[in-house]
Amino acid sequence: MKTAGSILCATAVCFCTVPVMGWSPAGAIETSTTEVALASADIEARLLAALPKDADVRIMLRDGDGLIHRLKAIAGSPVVTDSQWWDQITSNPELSQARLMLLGVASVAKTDAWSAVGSVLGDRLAVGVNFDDETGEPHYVIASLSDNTEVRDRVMQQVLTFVTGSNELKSNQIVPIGDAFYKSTNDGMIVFSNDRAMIKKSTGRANATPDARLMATVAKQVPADATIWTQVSSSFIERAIESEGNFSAKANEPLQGFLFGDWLHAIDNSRDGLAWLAVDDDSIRLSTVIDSDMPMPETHSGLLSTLSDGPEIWSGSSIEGYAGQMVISRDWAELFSERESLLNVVGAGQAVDFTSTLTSLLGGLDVMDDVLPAINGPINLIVARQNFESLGFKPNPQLPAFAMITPLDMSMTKNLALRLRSGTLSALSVVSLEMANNNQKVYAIQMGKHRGVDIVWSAYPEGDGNEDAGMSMLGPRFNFAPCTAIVDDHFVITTSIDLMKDLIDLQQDKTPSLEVPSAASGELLIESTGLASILQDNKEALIADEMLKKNHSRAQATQNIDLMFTLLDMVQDLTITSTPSESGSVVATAELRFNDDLLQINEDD
Amino acid sequence: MDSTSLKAWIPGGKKPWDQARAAHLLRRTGFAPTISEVRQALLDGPGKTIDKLIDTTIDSQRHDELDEIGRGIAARQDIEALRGWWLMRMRYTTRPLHARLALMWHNHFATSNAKIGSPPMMLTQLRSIEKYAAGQFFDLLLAMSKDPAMIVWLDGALNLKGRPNENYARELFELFSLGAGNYTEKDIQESARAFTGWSQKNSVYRFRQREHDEGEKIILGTRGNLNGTDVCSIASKHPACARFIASRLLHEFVTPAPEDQLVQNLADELAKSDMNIAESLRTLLKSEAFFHASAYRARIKSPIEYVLGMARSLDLDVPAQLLASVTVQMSQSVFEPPSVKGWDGHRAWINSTTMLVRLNAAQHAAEMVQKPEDFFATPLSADGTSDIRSFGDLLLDGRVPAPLVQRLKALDTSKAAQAHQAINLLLTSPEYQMA
Repeated sequence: MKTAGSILCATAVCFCTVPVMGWSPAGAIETSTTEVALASADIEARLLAALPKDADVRIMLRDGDGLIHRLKAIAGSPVVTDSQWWDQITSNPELSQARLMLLGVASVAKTDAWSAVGSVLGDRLAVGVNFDDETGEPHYVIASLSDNTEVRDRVMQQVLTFVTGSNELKSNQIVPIGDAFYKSTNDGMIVFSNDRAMIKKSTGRANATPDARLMATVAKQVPADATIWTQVSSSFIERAIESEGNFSAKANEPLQGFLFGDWLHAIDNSRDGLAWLAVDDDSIRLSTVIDSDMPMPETHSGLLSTLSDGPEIWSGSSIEGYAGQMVISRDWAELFSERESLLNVVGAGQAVDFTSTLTSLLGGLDVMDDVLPAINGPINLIVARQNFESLGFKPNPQLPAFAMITPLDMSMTKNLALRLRSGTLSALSVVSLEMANNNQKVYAIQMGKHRGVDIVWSAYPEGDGNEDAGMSMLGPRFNFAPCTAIVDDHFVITTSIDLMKDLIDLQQDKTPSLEVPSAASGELLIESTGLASILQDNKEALIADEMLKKNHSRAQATQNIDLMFTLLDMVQDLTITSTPSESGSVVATAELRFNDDLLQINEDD
Repeated sequence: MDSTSLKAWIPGGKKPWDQARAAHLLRRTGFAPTISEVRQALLDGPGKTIDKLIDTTIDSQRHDELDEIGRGIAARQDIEALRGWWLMRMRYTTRPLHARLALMWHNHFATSNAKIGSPPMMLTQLRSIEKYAAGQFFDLLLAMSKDPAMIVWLDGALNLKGRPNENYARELFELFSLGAGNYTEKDIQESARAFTGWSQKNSVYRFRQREHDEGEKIILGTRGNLNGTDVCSIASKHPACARFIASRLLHEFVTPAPEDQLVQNLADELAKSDMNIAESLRTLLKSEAFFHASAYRARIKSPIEYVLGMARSLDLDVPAQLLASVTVQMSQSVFEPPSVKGWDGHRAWINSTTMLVRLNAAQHAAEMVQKPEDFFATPLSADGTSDIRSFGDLLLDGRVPAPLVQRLKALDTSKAAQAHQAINLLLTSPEYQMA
């Protein structure tokens, strides 16, 4: 086979060569070897021009070849290859057959299977999808430009000869491959589609008019190291919202409205949705932006950006069994006062009920006037595995312990600490009374100190409840034994005394605090080791669920749960940060860090 | 053949051991057979098939696996999940007759989690029922009298010396052992005294000696310092008990309207075997009465029989919790029977609401069948008798009524969509509603 000419593309990200002509199986070389420097933005503009102008979703894969090599690294990792589910995948007859075919094609094309796939994905690959209004069926166009046209063209030659039995194909000739169609343009682009009309219209002209607004947005938002970006059109978001029926930016329950009100607002007024993925040697970062036409209400802004010298955010990472934490930054007093504009009638009613109940429980302390305005920093939720051994019983399921840490300006309300403490006692007594009325075991409420800090806590008397049904079957509520304390102007509620003690130790030992981006309205951190240990405690329950909900045998269910543990074993931690902006857009970034450089490309491979 | 006779049925001549009779036996003693189960029964013959059904030693790995997880599911206090778990065990058991018996006794000793509020206690009761379901009736009655859920259900904890609560004693006679008209109010009052102090603590049976009435009682003619165990013994030996239980068994396994003579014949059999359920059932299932034409498709399927039957026959990959939720929509919510009388059954299963749910469930089930055209590989013959490979054979024992045959023949069952329609027609046919 003879090679087509190529264009040398100089970009801020990478240099690549792009063939002027596609592969010509007839052997004729239609060529002029012109090397022209093109910016990566120009390549993306050309590929975007090959997609339908009104695409609902556009996806751009940068450096597909590199991605394939990272996948190769994952597939070669012992974590994967030693797992039972990998054996299952590799022994699947259909996959084996496809693998053999790929190996055959690659072998004839004088390359290896990974390189064959990578060469077809190319340096840039764009996908445009339109969803049928009635059936929802996707109609797609995939366009790719590659710097390694030699390998790509050899691979495609083998595929096309195998599929069509012909070697007389020309540029722009549309060839059916299974349910899809293929063509190579005369300027080096290869195109696939499942829609003949779409592929016919698709051209990869170098002078094609790019979507200027999209290109500007991508240039502004998507970092150069992003491996994939995708854009969802506003019309598609609108249709998706319509299909949901009664979507409203006004939430139907307070927690949803107060926590995700910024997202609801952005989606309701969205122009575009843009997401991108960046892959490093040891992590994957996924970012999403919902762009909105309407400025964001102040109530949704994070508190952190307005706090010049806010209280420290405790980090739970040094606690044994730490599984993660969530930091939520809101002006709660303002949120509650704006409830009617953020929540629907039902939600607003629930918010009022909630504050009224708390007000009653806190005995004379008005939640709206005395407590919420005193919150002077982000609310911090910490999750850690519970060790039930010291309690003498194990409930089912074994849930982690939770802690809520609320920083308070004690000067805002007279005797706030004292009143919160007495309110806690009242609340625990009421809960206990309710449990007794329902013929359930009640808490033993106690008071004491840990390292000088006063604690009010509740506990199930040791051994009590073990005789439930004569089978030691303790239900989920045995995971919860509420506990409160005021620690350094923080009101702390935990579901176990052990976690409370750990938190007091943490604070008194001056453990480093957590750094959260200043503009963030919320951050979620998950530590896989802690999470895995919690799940491990409940493995039997997870298997039982899998058997019941998926109609699986124990062996099948165990295999699925083991797969989950295998995947979790690859991960070190996950951080998700959400940041609203005044302009009305919201950005969420999720960073997944892997263990052992799982994604690192081994150059020796 | 005599429809009231317990004489052993001998196949032959015009009444051979055929697919319809094998399916009839397996349907009544399980939750709708699969093709392979019908084939095996045809090979084994009726005697061996019935002996295998009654045998409690047959192992089922899937069933045992499910048994092991029951405790954990109950501990989660999730009655929906426990309901799904029980249905899953019914589906995968290789001891279907014992699963049917457990369900029957659950209805007989109807206890609802709506009042108990404790899935672990409901599970404990089910375990007791399963343990004694096929044995001597006295053991089962005594186990239920000491069952913590039953004690909560019928206010055993309030039955104290000097202040007897008659709830349990009344139901023991009326609904559990003798039936109305076979005891007096005095018998109830005296029995309530005998059960004083039978209580529970932390979901475990507990006898509170100080609350037990040690005085003399006269119950159904027996005098003495009688306790709850004595009441169970007296009741289970009473002639009315044999008739009452015989009637229950006949309703469940033979016909919704058993003739008096058949009831008496089975009662005699029960009495002869000291109220042994398994041995009496062996006689019943092998009898002329069981295989009599009047018993064939005489009962309306309960929701569980209907839904599990579809899942088993069509080998549907559907989660048990979903199956359970459908049975609840059809008004059969296990662990939560409507009252102490249980479900009325038979005609009560069908009304305008539940019929609609049945039709919807059938349509979903039909659409879930993978490659339905394969099941119609052998075309239906004009008279509806065709090879077992066809759905008509599987679902309607090969006895597809002529009008339905015509409608099926109008469909091109080599095409998936029309094959689904054909399955739906069979599942929604009046004949398929009958057990």
